[in-house]
Amino acid sequence: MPEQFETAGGRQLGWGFWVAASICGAWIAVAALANVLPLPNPNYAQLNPASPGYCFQSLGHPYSAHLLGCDTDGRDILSRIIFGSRVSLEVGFASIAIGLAVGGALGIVAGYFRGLVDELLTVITNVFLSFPYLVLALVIVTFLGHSLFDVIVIIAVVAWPLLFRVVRAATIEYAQRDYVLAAQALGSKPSRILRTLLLPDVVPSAITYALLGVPLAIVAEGALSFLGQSVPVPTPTWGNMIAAGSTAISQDPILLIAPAVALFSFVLPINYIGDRLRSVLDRRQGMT
Amino acid sequence: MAHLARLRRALEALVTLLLVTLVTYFLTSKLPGNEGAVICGSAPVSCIRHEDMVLYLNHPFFARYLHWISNLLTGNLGNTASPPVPITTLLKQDYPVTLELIIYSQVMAVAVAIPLAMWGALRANGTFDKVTTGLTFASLSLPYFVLGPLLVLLFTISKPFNWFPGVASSLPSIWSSPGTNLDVMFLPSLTLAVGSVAVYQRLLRADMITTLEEDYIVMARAKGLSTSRILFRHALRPSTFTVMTVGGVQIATLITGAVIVEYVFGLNGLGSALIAAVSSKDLPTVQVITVIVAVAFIVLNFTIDQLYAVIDPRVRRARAV
Amino acid sequence: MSRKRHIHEVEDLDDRPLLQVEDLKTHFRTDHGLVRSVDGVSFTLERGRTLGIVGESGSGKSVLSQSIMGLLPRQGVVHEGRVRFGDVELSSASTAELRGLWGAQMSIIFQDPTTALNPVVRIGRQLTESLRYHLAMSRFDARETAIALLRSVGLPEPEHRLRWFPHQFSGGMQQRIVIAVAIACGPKLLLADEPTTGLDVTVSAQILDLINRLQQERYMSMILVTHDLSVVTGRTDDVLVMYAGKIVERAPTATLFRDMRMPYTEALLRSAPRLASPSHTRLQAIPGSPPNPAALPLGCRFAARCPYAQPRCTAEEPPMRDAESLNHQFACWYPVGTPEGRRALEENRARGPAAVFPGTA
Repeated sequence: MPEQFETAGGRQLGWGFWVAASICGAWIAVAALANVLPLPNPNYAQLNPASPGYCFQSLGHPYSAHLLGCDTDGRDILSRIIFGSRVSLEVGFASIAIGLAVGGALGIVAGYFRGLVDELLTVITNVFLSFPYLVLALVIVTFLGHSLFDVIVIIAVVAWPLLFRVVRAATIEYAQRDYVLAAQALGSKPSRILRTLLLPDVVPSAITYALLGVPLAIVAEGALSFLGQSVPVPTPTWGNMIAAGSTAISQDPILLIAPAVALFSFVLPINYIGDRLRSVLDRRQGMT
Repeated sequence: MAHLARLRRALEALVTLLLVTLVTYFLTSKLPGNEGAVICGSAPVSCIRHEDMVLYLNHPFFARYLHWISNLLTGNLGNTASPPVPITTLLKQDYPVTLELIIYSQVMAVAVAIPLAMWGALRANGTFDKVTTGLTFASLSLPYFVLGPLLVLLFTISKPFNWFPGVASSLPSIWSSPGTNLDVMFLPSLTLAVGSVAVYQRLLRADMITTLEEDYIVMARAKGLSTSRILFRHALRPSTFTVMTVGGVQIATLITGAVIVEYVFGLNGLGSALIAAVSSKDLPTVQVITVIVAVAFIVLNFTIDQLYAVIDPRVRRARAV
Repeated sequence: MSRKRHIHEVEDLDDRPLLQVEDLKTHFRTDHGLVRSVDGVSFTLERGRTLGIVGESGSGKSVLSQSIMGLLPRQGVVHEGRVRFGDVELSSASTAELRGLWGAQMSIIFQDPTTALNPVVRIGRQLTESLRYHLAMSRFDARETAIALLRSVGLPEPEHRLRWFPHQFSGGMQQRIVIAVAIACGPKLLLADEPTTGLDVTVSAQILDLINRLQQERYMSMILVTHDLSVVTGRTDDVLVMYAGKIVERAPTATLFRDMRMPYTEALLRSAPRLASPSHTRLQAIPGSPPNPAALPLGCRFAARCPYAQPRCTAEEPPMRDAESLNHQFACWYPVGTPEGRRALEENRARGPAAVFPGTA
């Protein structure tokens, strides 16, 4: 395998990785700068003929003032997509960060100490994983609520068992290595072994798996939004725009296509990034 | 050893089942819904009176849970909140749609994924392989709620391709008029199938490439067998182990997908029943559907685990884990 | 699936050998360069005769057997030379033509029976499928034939074993099944590629005797590929000794053992395990290892490990030449048992061990 001889990380990842990373970076930048960009208010109906941003037709039809046109309520589609990306990104990264903190920490503990703690946590995660994620999310959303924070928490609840599982498996594997066993035999303190020997190996794989979880979280939020169970309208999200667009497809397809393309153009590259990172990680694990 | 391991797995599944009902009950009893409906079971509506409710709520949590679970086990699923209809009636109406959706989609997915994976593995890294692998990877980034509406847009509305009936067409039973039924169910099943094709194709292709390098494949070639016979009779089954293990996880994804697909296409299945119940805060229905879905998942997963032994004769006798 | 069968009945032409291999070359294109596994091999095999091909692992003998069959992929592999099987030119035959010959007219027994049988297919079907495919037998006839075949390879209670899976048999029994599969359609040529590598001594002797018996009963031509010279003793009519993709000595078996000329053959025989020792013992006694087939040396390929080697050996490649005895050829400048060879060996001894085994210095 000639690839194994390539040591430079960048070359292992391939050019596609950097293209994907640039697209993701662009989306993050646009979402962060949405307030500064010259965009009309995403919730403002441009229905007054006297106003400068007037949408002369209530539907689509791109023209200079509104690049993608307006939706059925006369709101600028481009602006809604860009502001909508904020919800997706915030939920995607924040919920996975919480899920990783909880699931990852518990996974390391369970994978390193094993025994009763491990059994107990495994049973608990199995119970969580027995609910299809959307069903669980739908049940929780009903009594938690629909604020952005609630949605983040809900998706974190759905995500942590998966992260627990992969981090636990990685920890068990790393804990079997000779140098860890040697340190144990020499009587090093468990906390020290964890900190100095296990974490440096477990953390990169945990972050990789977390990155693979981000698109899943974004899709989960999108599904909730689509079903009208995420952040309440009129806040734009890709999911609720797709839902609105799909009820109005016979009027103008762009209402559906624009948010669909937006979602796809973020989820695909981030999936690709996760996939590449994982294959590089797998190869490294295979080498040591 | 093997029997002990199998017993252990069965026991694990049972414990998980029990905990799942407990968690469902705990979560859903917190719902700000009509809790009084739970105790009445299939009794007439008049049962739900203020006194009953107070009585019910004064019971400790576990007593209420035991009451509920024993009702469930005896087949008494209770009534929906409003209008009060026996939940069993609702389920009997709705489950065939969901079941058909899942089966139809999986038949499609397997029928497409196997040839794609085989042909790709046969000429690994060739043009066909690269294109299909790229396409399936991209399709993994197309969630059901994006793909569904897009298929509706493509195949039911605009002129040249409006081959299929539109959203919310009435769905006749598959037994009375199978043609119309399969026609209406085609796009929903396709929506659900695309993601599965991607998963199956990728796993099957990877395993198939490994299998095709095995000595027994060279030996099958040395027997002079045709390529298709080698692929289907010799290479396919040893290449399905990973797909089988992932199949269980796929089911959870499919149920989630069914919820969305039914919603998108206006089909009256368990998924849309669940969404309706959640939106109207119909507590008893949410509880029952959630438990049924989770139980189905656990049971199917367990079954697939056992099926593994049928596919691989080497584990049929001695199974370590 | 096309049910059309391409059984090509090989004509019995008394004046023509069954298998003719002429200057066969099989080179693999790899990232490390062109790997010349088989590099110009020629021989002929008459009907009903047996030929042993002997060499260390890495000498190209296993590639040779698959190359003769035409089993190697066409992509990434350079095939040169001619292989003629009866009246069929294998080198230019189509896949369909080859498929009609494989299993039906020519068969191969693989090294490792534990990987050569499909683990998830019952042995009955692995045995009957070529019968049904090539000979168009009915299900019943194929079953009866399969039972008879299993009985002839010495599998006890064959009628009860058809529904068993490979893992339910021992290694020796698995190899018997592989043999039964190979001879099922009555091939004219049988290639046995290290058929006893993973087996213990007694079992391996039984398997070799079985193969021999079947070869004689069925009047098959056979090529027995092995790393162990003692295996071919008394079992094959002729022996080819292969080194680094080339034939370095060929002779009738008895002649070779009595009167070997090539120092490599001598080294092989010295290092070969005696009949009593386990058959899978590696040939470690020859110092050094075969040259990298992607970077072959100039001159004689064995020179680096040869106790007879002289400056000429690393400069000029020795051609195949005839020995005094009949049908005996070898490729060496300082052959064993000749005055030149003796002188070369003595000169090297006088120079010390480093000169005798330059490869290990």
